[in-house]
Amino acid sequence: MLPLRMEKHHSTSSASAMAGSSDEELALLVADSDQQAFAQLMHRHLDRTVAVAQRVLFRRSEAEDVAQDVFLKFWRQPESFNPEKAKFGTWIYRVTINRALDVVRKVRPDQLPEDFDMTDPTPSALEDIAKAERRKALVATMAKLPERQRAALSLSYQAEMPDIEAAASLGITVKAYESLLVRARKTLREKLLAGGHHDA
Amino acid sequence: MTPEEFTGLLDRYGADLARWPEAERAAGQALLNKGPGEAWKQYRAAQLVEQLLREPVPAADHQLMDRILAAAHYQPEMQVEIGAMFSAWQRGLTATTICLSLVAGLFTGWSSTGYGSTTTYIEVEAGDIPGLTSSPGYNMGDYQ
Repeated sequence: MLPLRMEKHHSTSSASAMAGSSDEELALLVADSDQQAFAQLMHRHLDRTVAVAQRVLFRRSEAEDVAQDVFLKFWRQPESFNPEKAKFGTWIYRVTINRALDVVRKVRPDQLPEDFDMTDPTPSALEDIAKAERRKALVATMAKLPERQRAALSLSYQAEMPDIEAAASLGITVKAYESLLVRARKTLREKLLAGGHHDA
Repeated sequence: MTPEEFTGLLDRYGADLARWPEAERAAGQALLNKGPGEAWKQYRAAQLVEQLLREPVPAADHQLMDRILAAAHYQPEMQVEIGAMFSAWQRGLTATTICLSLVAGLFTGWSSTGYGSTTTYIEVEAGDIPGLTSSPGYNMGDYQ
């Protein structure tokens, strides 16, 4: 038996027709329970949503849980997104980063994950040992950064969010946000140099 | 521009000199053009850090998207459908259960308190019953 929403909307829109729609147009369709629009938005943003969360949480499974929570919440409460206030991409990554920070604070407030996984654990054939070592050292350092610094890095480098939007996402001033970025970059750069990995 | 100033700008604006303010960009580039040195070393380290930060996290697998779609589309509707399927007879069953419980409760309560029995007490004299008399050795009073 098809779910009610599918019975109601499966013929109202097609994937090909949606490919040219903006995120905000799709979000409006989601507000009308259009499951194809929802799938299209996930197709566009799910990977990056997981990536944004993973930069904060460092555990793939937790990042995926956060991404799932965020998208399900949007499906069930589509009115929580207001296209007049933000672009969908900005909004979904903002919700994601805040949800990830909640998880860090509530689930493991004094966390320093020993079993974090930053990227694909299997290095590519082209990746040499020195590069792998450098990455390992940097990832370990990133995992030890304060959570807000990690969130700032994630919004800047994974979500590619402008500073003003990223600062608003974290509820801080642009100056404070830039300060987080400066400290995070400085820590990582110094760690890399201290480990002698910079010439690799 | 000193290497220290250069390093401060690296942390502030990142390793992509194109994103630096124009005035600082020219001075920074001039410093790098001098060749390997402290500024160059810091620049290289910052570049490597940013490479890692921009490194894409592996794509979310289709199973995650499928899980989300399943949770979004099927769970609530399944609950509704199951509710719709069973609601009619469930309501009838519930009403019947409540009625039976009430009847059973009333009956039980009535029985235990004696209000349900129809005992009637009639004052009878021994003489009212044929063959039963207040003869010696048989005194009704002994049983009352």
